[in-house]
Amino acid sequence: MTTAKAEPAGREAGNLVTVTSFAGGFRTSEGFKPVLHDVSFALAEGKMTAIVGETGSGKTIMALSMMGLAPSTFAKTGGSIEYAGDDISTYDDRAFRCIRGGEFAMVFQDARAALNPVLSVGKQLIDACRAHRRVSVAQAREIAEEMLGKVRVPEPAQRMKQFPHEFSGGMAQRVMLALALICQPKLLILDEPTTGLDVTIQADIMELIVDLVHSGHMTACLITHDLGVVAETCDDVVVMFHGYIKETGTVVEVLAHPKDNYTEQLLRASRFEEMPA
Amino acid sequence: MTTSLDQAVETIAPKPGRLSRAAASVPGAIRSIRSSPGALSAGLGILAFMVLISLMSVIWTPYPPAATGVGPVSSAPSAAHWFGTDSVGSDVFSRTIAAGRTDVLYTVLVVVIALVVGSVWGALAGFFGGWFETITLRLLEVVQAFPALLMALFIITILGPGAINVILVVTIIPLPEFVRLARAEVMTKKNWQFAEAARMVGNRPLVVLFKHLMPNSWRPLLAYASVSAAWVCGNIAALGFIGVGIQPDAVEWGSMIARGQADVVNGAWWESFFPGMGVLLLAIGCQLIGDGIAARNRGEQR
Amino acid sequence: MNTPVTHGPALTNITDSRGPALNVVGLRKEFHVKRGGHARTLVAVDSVSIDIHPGETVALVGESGSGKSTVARCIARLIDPTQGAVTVGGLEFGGLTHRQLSRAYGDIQMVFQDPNSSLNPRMTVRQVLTEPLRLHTNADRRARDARAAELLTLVGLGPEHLDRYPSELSGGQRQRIGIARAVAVSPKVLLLDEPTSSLDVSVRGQVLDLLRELQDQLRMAYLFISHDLDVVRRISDRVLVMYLGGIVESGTTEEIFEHPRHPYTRALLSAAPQIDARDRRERTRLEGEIPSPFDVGAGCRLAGRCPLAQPSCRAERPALSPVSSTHEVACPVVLNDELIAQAVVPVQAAVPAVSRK
Repeated sequence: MTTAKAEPAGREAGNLVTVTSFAGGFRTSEGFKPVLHDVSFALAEGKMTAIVGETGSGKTIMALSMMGLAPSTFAKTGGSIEYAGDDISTYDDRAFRCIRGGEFAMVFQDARAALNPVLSVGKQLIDACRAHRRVSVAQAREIAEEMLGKVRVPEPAQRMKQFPHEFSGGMAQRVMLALALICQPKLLILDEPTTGLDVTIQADIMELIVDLVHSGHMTACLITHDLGVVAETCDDVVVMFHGYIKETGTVVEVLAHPKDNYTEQLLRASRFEEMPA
Repeated sequence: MTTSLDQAVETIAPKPGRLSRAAASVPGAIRSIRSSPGALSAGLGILAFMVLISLMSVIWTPYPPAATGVGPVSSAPSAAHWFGTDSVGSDVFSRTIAAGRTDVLYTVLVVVIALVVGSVWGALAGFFGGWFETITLRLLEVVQAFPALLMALFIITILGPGAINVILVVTIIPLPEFVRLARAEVMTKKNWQFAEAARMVGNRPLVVLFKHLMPNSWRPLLAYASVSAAWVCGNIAALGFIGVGIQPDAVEWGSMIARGQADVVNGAWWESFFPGMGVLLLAIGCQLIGDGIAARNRGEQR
Repeated sequence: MNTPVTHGPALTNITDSRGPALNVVGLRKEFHVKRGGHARTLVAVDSVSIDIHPGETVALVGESGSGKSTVARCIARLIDPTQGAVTVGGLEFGGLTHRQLSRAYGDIQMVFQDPNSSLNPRMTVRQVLTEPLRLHTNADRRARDARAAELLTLVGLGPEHLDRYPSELSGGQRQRIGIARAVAVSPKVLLLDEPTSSLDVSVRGQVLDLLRELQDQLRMAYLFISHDLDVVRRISDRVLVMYLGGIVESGTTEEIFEHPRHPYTRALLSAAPQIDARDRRERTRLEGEIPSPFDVGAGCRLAGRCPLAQPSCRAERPALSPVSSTHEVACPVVLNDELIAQAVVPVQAAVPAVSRK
């Protein structure tokens, strides 16, 4: 964790993705329900940014919008998501498919549900690899094995032949990570990757991710509600509440000197401190 | 929500026109009708209409349904006989709507019995497991291994024709599926926390099953009930057509179709057509109800 | 409360207020499964003994496969244990028939983890709260309704919620209803299975405060099951650490958190992410993953992963041995090695995350 350099988040040069005044909501049978209001933040290159919020904060839909995976009932009403000089919030699915997987990758909350249950893990890794890199099947297999090793899956060669249901929760999460990383993405988004995992495995996986971010010059965006994980692994943090951005800044700054009331409440609650009346 | 906001959304991100897309293809159109929420109302409407007409036939029919020779033999639909007459001179219209009573009633009866018996059986099997469940499963496998109608024919040949036998035999056909559905629902839900909570509150196990679990499991059962109704009415008519139904020459659509069969060759299409339409309409009505319920379930599961 | 609420005809119930409200001895639960054609036995819970006195909170801590939820369900007889004696307020639970058990649930209740699925979606709040009253008391309709309103106030909700359905309430509110339901007939023992795990952090504190208040008022014994160590530290008097079905360490909250002995306890405590650097500990690492419960060998359950494993560890399963009058550890290695005991105090200086290697 880069505690030494207290760089302000959102420094113009060096931001991989910049979200500006993004707003949107869901079309429901009762009309239009806005869920995001004027959301602005940036993901600094090579750093890990946390998007923190509780239920209903809009953090997941924001992440899905960045990946172009928002459900069809979601409609953007304003703002932009800027990446590599383009506003990707205007992309249709076909355009997104070019960057998804290859440049943007996402790890979801429920790993086993996100993996295809009828294909072996090895096949899924090889397919993903070949979809974005020009390699032969044999080369892809090697890369896949190496990747499994990197995410600390023991006996990768054997595991490649197994199916998702043969993996425990923690292992499946690692496989998903390998799947996301195999195409060397520039941005990795993780949506509550450790919810439901045991705390010892959680710690291992987060360490792994921090390692990969710092050594691989990858940018990561961690969606979570756990401030402990944020404190120990992230560089920057964005606090959301009911679709609004409450505060942004470096983790060190925000956790030590929260400027916003909600952030402070969140910190107090996490520390089990008494709330002011 | 203000309409201006809705309008604003529509200009920025208009919904793809569902009907315009669907109308482009006939299968698409059928699919979109079937999955629209209007399906339920349409189905219920059809069913209500049929029930109403059938009830009306108790009080009034143009001619007595069982009477022969009320008109010229095998005459085409006319002002005097709206659906024409059949080979023994009975009025087809009167017979058709009177037969509706039988078919609709029996269909409903069979479905209700299969639903109730099947649900209870399946729920008990799923909840308690053990040998009861194993025997149930084996029985289901045996019954479902046979082609439905063939099996029904076989059994009714042994038992002989008659109203009760028909009901019994036709009930056996959809019964296994109800048992399976109920069992599956109960097996899934019995480990949910509200079932455990219901037990811990102090309810006895059977109470937990029937008061807490079953009421939460009705959706798939109801959906299947409506769909199976379509098949049931077809089966009843089929048995009647073959001649092992309620009784030969009964005022029942299947029997009517059979009776008019010979005359179709001579061009008297109306004798079998209208009772056939009766069966078809009832089946469509039930199917639409089933589709409507399924669409509702899907919509609420979001 | 105006109308006295009487309990139904009670079973012979020796309520000894000095003795433990909940007494569990040698609880064991085996599952028989077919794995690859062979019948194999999975020991989910192995010789667990717990004592909880009125007004006391004992926490059961562990990861997946630890058996902690199974312990709760065996105590409540939602699952029948293979072996073991469970006594609630002096009443032997094991031999009860289903009918007697339904009665006995007036003394022991459970708060479930998921507020979304632990309330029957088709019952109003009123129905949920009056059901236990109907089953365990002789109160008439009006008295039951009055009590339901009282219960709502007790958990910090207003009477306007009485005719609402669970789907109309928030997660925190639903959990409060679950708690209200559980305390409706003033049980002696409350089993809480991860009651705050599904709640937002801002609601968590309030629910814990509520639980503590209710405990003080009603002098209930709490068995608090959780994997969240922060919460456990907050609310418990004693802690039992479980791993793969057995208790590996037990002691007061202070002993477990300040002077953890067992390598597993230390691994667990050191892995929990902390907001403040001063709360972070030097990481005790365990190798590999939690093994399949079928593959637990004869010796210590942790032997395959433990950094301190000796050959003797695989030979014999260690029993819980006392470190102090209130502290027990199932690990002969740490008990013999005084050096380890001295290094147990958590690291005081700030430990930057990047050096946690």
